[in-house]
Parts: sequence; C-alpha cells; structure tokens
Amino acid sequence: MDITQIDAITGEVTERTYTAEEKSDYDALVAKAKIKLDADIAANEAKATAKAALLAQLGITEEQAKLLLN
Amino acid sequence: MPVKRYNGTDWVTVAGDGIQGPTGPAGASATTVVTTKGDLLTYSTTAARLGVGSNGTVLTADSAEATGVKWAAPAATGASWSQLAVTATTSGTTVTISGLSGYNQLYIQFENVSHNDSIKEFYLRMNADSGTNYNIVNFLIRNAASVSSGTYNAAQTEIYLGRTASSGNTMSGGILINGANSTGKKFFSGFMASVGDLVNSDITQPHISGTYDGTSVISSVSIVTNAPAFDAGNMRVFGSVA
Repeated sequence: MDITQIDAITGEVTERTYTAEEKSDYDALVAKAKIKLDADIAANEAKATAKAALLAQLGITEEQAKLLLN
Repeated sequence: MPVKRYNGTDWVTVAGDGIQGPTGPAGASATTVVTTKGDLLTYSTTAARLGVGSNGTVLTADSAEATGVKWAAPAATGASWSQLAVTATTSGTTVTISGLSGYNQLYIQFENVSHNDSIKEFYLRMNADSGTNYNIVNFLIRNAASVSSGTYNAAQTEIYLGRTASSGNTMSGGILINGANSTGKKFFSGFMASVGDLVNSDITQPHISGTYDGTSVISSVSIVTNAPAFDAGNMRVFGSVA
C-alpha cells in the first residue's frame, strides 16, 4: 500500500494505494528529487576529486590535512 | 425641581432622580442603589447594585444570575498541548495523520524515521497539498564544519525534511505550525537531523522556517519519501487549540 492514514479523532487506520492524481503528484516529486540528487552527487564527486588531487599535489594524507586545519 | 419624562402622550413626574426606563414604573434612585467605589447599576426586576469584582476579574454575562451578569476570572487563553496521534512510519511512501482541524498550533515530531533504499529524502506536506504553497527559509549545517548560507525558496511544493544514505540511517526532528486553524497564511518552523546524507558518515541538520499559503485550515499532515518505502520510525502530532 502507498498511504497509511490515521484519523486523530477516531483512531481509525486506513491503508490504500494512491489515486491517479496522487500517483501523478508522487511521480513528479520523485522525478524532481532525482534531478536534485544527481546534481548533489555530481558536486560531491567533483569535490572529492579536487580534494584528492590537492592532497596528492601537497604530498600529504587526508588525516595530515585535518591535523593542519585543526 | 421635579424631573419630567415624556411617556408618549403626556409629561409625567419622575420619582427619585429619573433612573427608570422611558415607559417603566417609577424607579429607584441611582444614588441610593450604587453606593461604593466600583459599583455597577444592574437590573433584574428592579435596579440592583453589583459590587466591583476582585482585581483581574472581568464582567461576564451569566443567565443564571438574577441580574444576568457577574464578575468572573477571564478564560484562559494560553496554549494547552495534548498529543493527538502517533503512527509508525514503517510502510508505504506516504504516512498521514488526519482529523487535525480545530487546533491553532500543531507540532509534528519525526522520530528515527528511515527508508529502505539508498540516498533518498523525506518531505512534509499539509492537507496533501502539492501546490506551490510552501515558502521556505533553509539553513543547512552539514558535518558540523560545513555550514551553508541560508537560502530562501518560494513556491515550493513540499517542505524538505532531510536525506539519508541508506536503510538504518535515520531522520528525527520537529516542525511547529502556527495559525493552523485559520484560512490565512500559516507559519512553520523547526529543525531536523539526519544521520547519513550522501554517505553514511554525513550528518546534516536542516533548520527551516517559512510560510504555507494554503487557504484551508490544516486538517492533515503527511510525511512522504521518494524511496520505495519507509521502514522504521514514528510520526507524532501534538495540538493546542489556542
């Protein structure tokens, strides 16, 4: 089931699948999230690559870099 | 000199100092009914004195009183909270608590919520509204040393709560909503903390506040994930009528 709903007044619990409109809304949400996530992952990977390159250029490890920064 | 009043036909002499109504019987003198500082002149079948109430009391209508009014302590107007519902976030992709109308303030608490996938997010919606009605200020602290500048994003279609990297990573936090029982703008504010963001070692702490433009009173709140399903945790709602 897609939705679990509890009524705060009666305590009744309902489980059901999305209606067509709800499914459309949900699919739009998932698609939008994927675009954002892909961008975040790409940015994170680019940052990690740049960091590794800098560490290699400096000839130190990440732990040594942390010591320097602290 | 006698005081006269017009009864619709003739001018007649008024007894006392003229306190009676325009067509009523001769009444008592106000100066003989009210005698003490703060006295009020009231009426049942005759004029009656109501002595001043205790400090802080207010004049209150009460049909059980002979004169229909009394002094009483003002009704409490402060917030009084109670738990309205709690439900597990252990299946499906939307968990909703409904039946929330009538509460001006709502507090939604997320307790160790997780999903069953890798790197997926959690969102909050009110009244299942997917319109562009959420205007959000977001301040994100990531891994403590990495602090983002605040961002403002108007016309969002949901409130972002956080992201976790895998099942077993959890998101907890709370959102306070004010003005929930009005048809005007609603204010929300809160913060979350997620263990695991893009990788398991990440810790993110979104601090959010903003306004919700939906014009209906809030009758339900939903947590939504873009993962295949929730797999742990609870959502709990508290409410205050004031």
